[in-house]
Amino acid sequence: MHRCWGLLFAAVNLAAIGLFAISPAMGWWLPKNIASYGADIDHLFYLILVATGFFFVITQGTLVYCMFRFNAKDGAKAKHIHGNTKLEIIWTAIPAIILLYIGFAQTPTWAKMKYIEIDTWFPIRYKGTNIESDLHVTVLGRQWEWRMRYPQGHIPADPQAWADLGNLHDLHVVNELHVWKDAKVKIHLKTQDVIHSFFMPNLRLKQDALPGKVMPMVFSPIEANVRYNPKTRILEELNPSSTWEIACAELCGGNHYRMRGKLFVHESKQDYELWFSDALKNQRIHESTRLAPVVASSNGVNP
Amino acid sequence: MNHDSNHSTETKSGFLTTYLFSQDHKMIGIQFLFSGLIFFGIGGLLALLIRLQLAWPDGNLPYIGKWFPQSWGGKMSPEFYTMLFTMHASIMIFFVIIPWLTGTFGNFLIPLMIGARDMAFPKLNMFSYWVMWPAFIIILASFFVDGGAASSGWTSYPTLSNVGAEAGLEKNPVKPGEPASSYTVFKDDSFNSPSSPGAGMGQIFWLVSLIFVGIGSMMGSVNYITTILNMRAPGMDLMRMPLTVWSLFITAILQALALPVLTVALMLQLLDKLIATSFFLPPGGLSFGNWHTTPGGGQPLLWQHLFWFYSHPAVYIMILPAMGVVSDIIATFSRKPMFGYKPMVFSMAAIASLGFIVWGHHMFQSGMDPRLGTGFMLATILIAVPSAIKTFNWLATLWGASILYTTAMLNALAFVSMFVIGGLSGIFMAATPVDVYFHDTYFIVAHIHYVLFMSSIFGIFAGITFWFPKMFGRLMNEPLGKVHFALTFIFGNLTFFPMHILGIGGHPRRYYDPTIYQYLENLQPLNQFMTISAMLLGLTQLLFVINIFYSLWFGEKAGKNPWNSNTLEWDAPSPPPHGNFDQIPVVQRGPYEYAIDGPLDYLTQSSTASDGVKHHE
Ligand code: HEM
Ligand SMILES: [Cu+2]
Ligand SMILES: [Cu+2]
Repeated sequence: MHRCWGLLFAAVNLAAIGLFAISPAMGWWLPKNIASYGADIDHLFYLILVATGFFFVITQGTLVYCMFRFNAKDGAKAKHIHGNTKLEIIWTAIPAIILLYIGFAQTPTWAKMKYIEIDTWFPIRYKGTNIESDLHVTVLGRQWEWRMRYPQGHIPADPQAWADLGNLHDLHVVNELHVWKDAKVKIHLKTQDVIHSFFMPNLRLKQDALPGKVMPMVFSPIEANVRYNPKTRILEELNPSSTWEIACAELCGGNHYRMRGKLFVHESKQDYELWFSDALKNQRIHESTRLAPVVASSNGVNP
Repeated sequence: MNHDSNHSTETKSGFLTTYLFSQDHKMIGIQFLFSGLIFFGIGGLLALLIRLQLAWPDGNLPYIGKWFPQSWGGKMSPEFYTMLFTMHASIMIFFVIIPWLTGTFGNFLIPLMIGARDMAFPKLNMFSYWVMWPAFIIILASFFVDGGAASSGWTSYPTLSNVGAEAGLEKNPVKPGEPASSYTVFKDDSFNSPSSPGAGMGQIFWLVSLIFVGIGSMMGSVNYITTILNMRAPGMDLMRMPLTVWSLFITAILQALALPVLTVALMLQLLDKLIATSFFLPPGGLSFGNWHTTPGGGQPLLWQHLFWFYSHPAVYIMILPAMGVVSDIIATFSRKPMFGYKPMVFSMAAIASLGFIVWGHHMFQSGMDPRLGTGFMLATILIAVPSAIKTFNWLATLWGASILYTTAMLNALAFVSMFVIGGLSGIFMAATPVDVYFHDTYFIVAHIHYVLFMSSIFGIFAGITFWFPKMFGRLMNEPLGKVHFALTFIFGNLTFFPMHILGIGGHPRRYYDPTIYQYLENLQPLNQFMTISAMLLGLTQLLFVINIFYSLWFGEKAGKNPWNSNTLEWDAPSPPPHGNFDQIPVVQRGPYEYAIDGPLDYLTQSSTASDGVKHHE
């Protein structure tokens, strides 16, 4: 009976490893990455997975071994030992070194995500910000939808003021973020009521929207999923499996789960512009219902 | 000492003063034990309802559907769902884990383990339990108030939580020829909130209840610190204290320093709700449909800083005592001295002090300056080092041990194993770029449950089983305890481990219905699997309750020292009388002298037998 306990612990730990092993094959894994810095994030994830996996195996292995090996019922005799300074130093230093390595290894990625320049030699020293973008979008969270606003010409003259006040000729779209492949996108994230969090799993990106503040978000998608057909006025999916969703990640009331949006990455800037001008024309026609979903995408792709 | 001369008269007290308004630290500890048990049941039932919804989100639950009002369409409403997880977490944290760890173990064990007759301030101690009762009543009543219970999560972030209808502007319906922006000031006396139904009266009840809890914990902390510093038996140097006492001491300091911050934050939010002070409302004003707040002058982010400045230390409040308890149990049933006593003490102190500078890791995505994020990241990564030290010392204690598999020991071993998992998942989230993705997904939920359920609760089960004979003079039933342990270990892992995978898949937390997202569709079978495991896990806990009540009356009678353990509480009779010890023991040595050559393999702290130990430190 006393041997069973070691077995139980071993079995549970093996099952845990097993679940991690089969999950990618089952499709229970990171969604496809489409962010320029996304590969860095995923590498970091795997680096930590390897490091933690190593400690997991060592510690659980030792525990299970002890449970089998040092058993009173098998007549094991306990040793009178109070400690060992050398060992303490070793098992303080090794995790500390590995952890510090993980700590410093990640700062360049963090800087890239936040478009910050850092010192090459001392990567936690910041040298300045580096945001140049070729598409600005304002995203306004409210209970329970995302309202997107696009400027004519992609870059407003005074982005700060534009993010605050907008412009008469802006294009308004609900729950749809349109950008183009390789665009350097800057989102001005706002909310009119409670905290929301703009989460795009495929871009590995998430940012809280804070009442009273305009939060910046910067990214660049490296893959496209739609093409606009000006003849049929339909957004065509390039690949049936590339639906990229937007979710809300911060509790914002009962329908928090329903703040679902979609990310459309157009093939090219030209393609985006075709869509933009049609959508804008359409909005002028329906000026009175400015905030109703715009026609373009409600045809082709399921909203 | 004054108290000594009094206690003979106090022993002749009646039922009320013995069981209800007791000033005896042991009875107060036992009171915390049983009220915690009741709330453990309530919190658990709420959890099962959450799981039901997640597994079958389209509603139409067999049988259970009928319980919900007709107006919800025979199923759970999304608002009700948000109340469930808010109350589940609040109850488990503030009414179960903290009261069990600090209330039960702190009260029952500290005087016994340091060789004192009682706490420094017995009356204050009684109050620390009795202010819990208003908290209990208010939190339970909050389910039945207008709008329902609080629903803004246990973190209760403004502006979801604190907007009141007390004062605001309502947009007038536009009449022809009138400018669209005409408003009338309106006043609503109902405390309803435009943000969500639970943010009205329910939120107020929640805030008031937690303020009571905070006051109680504060009284407890002051008492523990004073008692440990001033009332140790002769010979009980600080560095001879059992690790349980050290952990409770450090926890009390943490609580005394962090809790005032939470209490202040709760009061500010209460003022926001009651008299529209807008400490946490932004200057610009907010609009909910036709309803606008008057511009405030505060900051929603301020709440997050205050809240996490308390709540990160609080997560250690919720595990340090369990670490202490587990250390003592492991040493006892390894029949071997604790390996690295000093490193164990120092690493707890390190966790506690580093714990004050890592709160920002809950706010990486909140809009904090990215440079600040780096600082919090480094501090957070470093806090994993003392956690690792503790783990290695437990393992080293087991190495070369002579392990006795009692129920208490099994639960303690499970603590070590599960704490490793919870600590390791913390490292993913400490890495800022990775946390951008994992924040507010099920990965966090997995982490929480590995450290709190799978670690702290196993620690608590271990502690209750271990000291039950001291509390009640009878042993808990071992076979039943082992079955309960094995099933909890299995179903617990089946319930919580797949949550990591859900998080990796990007499944957000606090979602009423994840299936409307295409990228989450695949994960639904896991959700159903976890729900079934959770039901079995819940059922298993009945065994624990049965074991407690069975053993109270029919358990095997325990002598003074049923586990052959070294610490002072085992010198006292089981259960100890009022005043604890016939004679205050004189401490001769540290608490971990096991594996001694001689007729007995252990030397209690107070034993005057010469130890005959070859000391190799
Ligand atoms: C190795 C040590 C640990 C590290 C590095 C760590 C790291 C973290 C980080 C970075 C977060 C925030 C994640 C996010 O929201 O994005 C977090 C959340 C949390 N941690 Fe830990 N943690 C550790 C140990 C613990 C322990 C021992 C406990 C409790 C006993 C704990 C309880 C929690 C809880 C309750 C939350 C979630 C709070 C919430 O958002 O509801 N952690 N942890
Ligand atoms: Cu939300
Ligand atoms: Cu924390």
